[in-house]
Amino acid sequence: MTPGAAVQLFVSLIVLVNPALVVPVFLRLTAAGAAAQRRAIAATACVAVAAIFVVAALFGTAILAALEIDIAALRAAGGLLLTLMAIDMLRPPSAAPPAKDGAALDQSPAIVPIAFPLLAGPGSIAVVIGAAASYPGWEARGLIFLVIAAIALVCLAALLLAVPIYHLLGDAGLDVLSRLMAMVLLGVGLQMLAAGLGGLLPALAK
Amino acid sequence: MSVGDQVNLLISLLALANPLGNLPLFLALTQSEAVARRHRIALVSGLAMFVTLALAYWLGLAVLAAFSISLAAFGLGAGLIILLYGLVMVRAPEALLGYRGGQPGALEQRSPALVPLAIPLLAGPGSIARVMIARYHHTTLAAGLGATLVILVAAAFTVLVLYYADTLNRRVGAAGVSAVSRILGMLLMAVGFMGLAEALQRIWPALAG
Repeated sequence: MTPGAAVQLFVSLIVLVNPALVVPVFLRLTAAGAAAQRRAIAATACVAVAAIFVVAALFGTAILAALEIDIAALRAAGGLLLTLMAIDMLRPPSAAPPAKDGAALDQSPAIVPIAFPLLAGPGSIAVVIGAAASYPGWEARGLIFLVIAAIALVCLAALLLAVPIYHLLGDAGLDVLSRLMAMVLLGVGLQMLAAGLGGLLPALAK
Repeated sequence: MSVGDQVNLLISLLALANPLGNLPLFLALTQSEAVARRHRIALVSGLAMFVTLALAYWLGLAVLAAFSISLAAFGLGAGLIILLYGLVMVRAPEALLGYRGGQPGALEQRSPALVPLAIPLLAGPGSIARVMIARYHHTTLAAGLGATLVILVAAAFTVLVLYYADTLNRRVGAAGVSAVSRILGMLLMAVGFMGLAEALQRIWPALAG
């Protein structure tokens, strides 16, 4: 694997991972929490992204084969999830948000949906599996791991910047931004769902 | 029935029974019980889970035939149920924990081992549908024995988790339980989509391309 190929892998991954799209979703999912809790979720999510990609690079094809899970089915599932999240974001926020400022913020969205399928979605996982399959050998693995680490750091930066962005925009600005991004997310989700269904029902994709 | 099929069945059953996700509920239902009785409840509900799923596996298709429901239509329903279970687990894992079986006053004296623990929490519509799908894919005796073994392993693992409920609950914590539920939910959604796609291809062969 040449350094050029590694850069190419980085570019295609960063487009698929698309950290900018995740910022409004992240802010919305962690709206109730303090800044420190948000940072903890951001860190967990980025570690999870790195872990998902590393596992995909090392054992991706073997795991999917062992579980008898079609990557197209995973793609359809991720697409449906993103579509529903986007529809939730498009609708006005519920009148009575759970008022629990002091309560500990639920850490669980860090892995699903933030790390998967928002950041490390089926598309980017498929790219990593493909790269690992086309460049065997430990030297290439090392480069792939470097690319993965870079991606995770970019994600971490984006999620940590989310809080300053929120302070800059305020509640109203965030509302506007999240509606706009929800339209994009709706498109991404439906596209993923369509690709998954096309893989599951080959006649549809003809 | 290949090893992959069996692993898929085992993971699906464990995800649908979700013993880790049901821990808080199990502890709430049995909080007034002594430890020995709590262990007994875990054992009885695991046994009931095994019996329910094994019966559904061996006799379920006959029941469908008696009501003249086509396998394709059933597969469509089963895929949909599994997909929706997965969706709830991913989007609102805590919604599953809010389940309260029956009226508390009248039922408080009865052991929760069978209802609601064994049915519908450990062996519900989703896992019943899943074992029936396994049956119509492979109808040989060897596959049947293999699948029964898988169901036994799933039930045994569930008993083990409930047996050590106190310790596990303290170690894993609410956030950990919720995170595991979300990951398993994502896998269930994929399994549900595979079931749906297969049933749709049975109903409209042209879709298979």
